[in-house]
Amino acid sequence: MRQRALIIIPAYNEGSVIDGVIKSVSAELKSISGLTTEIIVVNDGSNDNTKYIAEKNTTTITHMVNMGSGAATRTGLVYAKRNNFDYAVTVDADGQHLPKDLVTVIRELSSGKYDLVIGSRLIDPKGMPAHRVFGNKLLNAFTRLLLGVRVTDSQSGLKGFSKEAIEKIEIHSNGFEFCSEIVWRAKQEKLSIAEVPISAVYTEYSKQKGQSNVNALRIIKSLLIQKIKEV
Amino acid sequence: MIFTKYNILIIFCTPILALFLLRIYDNYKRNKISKRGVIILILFWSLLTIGILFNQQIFHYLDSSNLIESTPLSLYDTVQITAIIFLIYIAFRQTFKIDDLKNKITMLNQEIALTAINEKKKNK
Repeated sequence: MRQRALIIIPAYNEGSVIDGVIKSVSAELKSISGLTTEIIVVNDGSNDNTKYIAEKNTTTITHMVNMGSGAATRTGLVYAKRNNFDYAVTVDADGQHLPKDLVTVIRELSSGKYDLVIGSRLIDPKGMPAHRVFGNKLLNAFTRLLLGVRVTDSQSGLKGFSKEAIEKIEIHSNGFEFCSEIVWRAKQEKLSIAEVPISAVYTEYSKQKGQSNVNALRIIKSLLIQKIKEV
Repeated sequence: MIFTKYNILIIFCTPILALFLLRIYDNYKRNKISKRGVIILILFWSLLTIGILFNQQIFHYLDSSNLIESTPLSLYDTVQITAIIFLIYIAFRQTFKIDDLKNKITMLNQEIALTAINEKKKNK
């Protein structure tokens, strides 16, 4: 039986780019043989035309209200779990990731060696704005200090999950702090983690949509609360 | 004299603190908080209780060590301290309730979305 992979695209107000992202991901997935793939968009209560554009192109799960990217990713992972997918890969909806990197993550996952594969922008941060590099490194340091997990890019939106990871990782955060939480939960569940170098495309649009350094402070605060709650 | 201001503070606060400690124990029994959570909360409120029970000694110690330059406790201060303790409790309670509510809304949102997509797939 062919293995099945689910591509999860959490989206909030991405009407202007979502069409292009779905089409480019879909085209790239054709290069993978021996694997059945499905793309889902988790529309996180967008108030633009994201839902309508996504529905025209692929399966779209819609949150009635905006809950945050963590909540949207969790919905995608629950969908993968309930529909018995072998792999799940999350991709940003703002077009920041190159579809070929998605294929790299899937190939690494299907090798069967790892449960969580992180597409790391910081192994080779060429083209990444300096302030983004700083903000991400700060969050990596914090993730390591507070959660005890050492990865080069804890905030990457391109992550791959094995079947075991889909079943075991439960995200509790609703906001952007879910990125660090995923690696934390993977460590708690003793899952194997790998990182593969990826490129990140920074357009004016993705710069506006991505996490700012001010958001980094909010992430740190949320992770601290999460950690205290679990003490 | 029994009714010193320090004793009034104890009379005001001890029943409230005892009630909080009982509530924590009750919540733990009903599986509303984890074992670790109950330890942290009991430790926090117990420290406050000890502080209240020995408020006179603490005040004198701090005063004699020149750590505070405050006038002795007034009756108004005792009411204020009781109110602050009560507000800390309310803040704790509200924070946990809001967090719990947020989680429930998220789960509800998720279930509605997943049920809707399943229905849609069935109808296709």
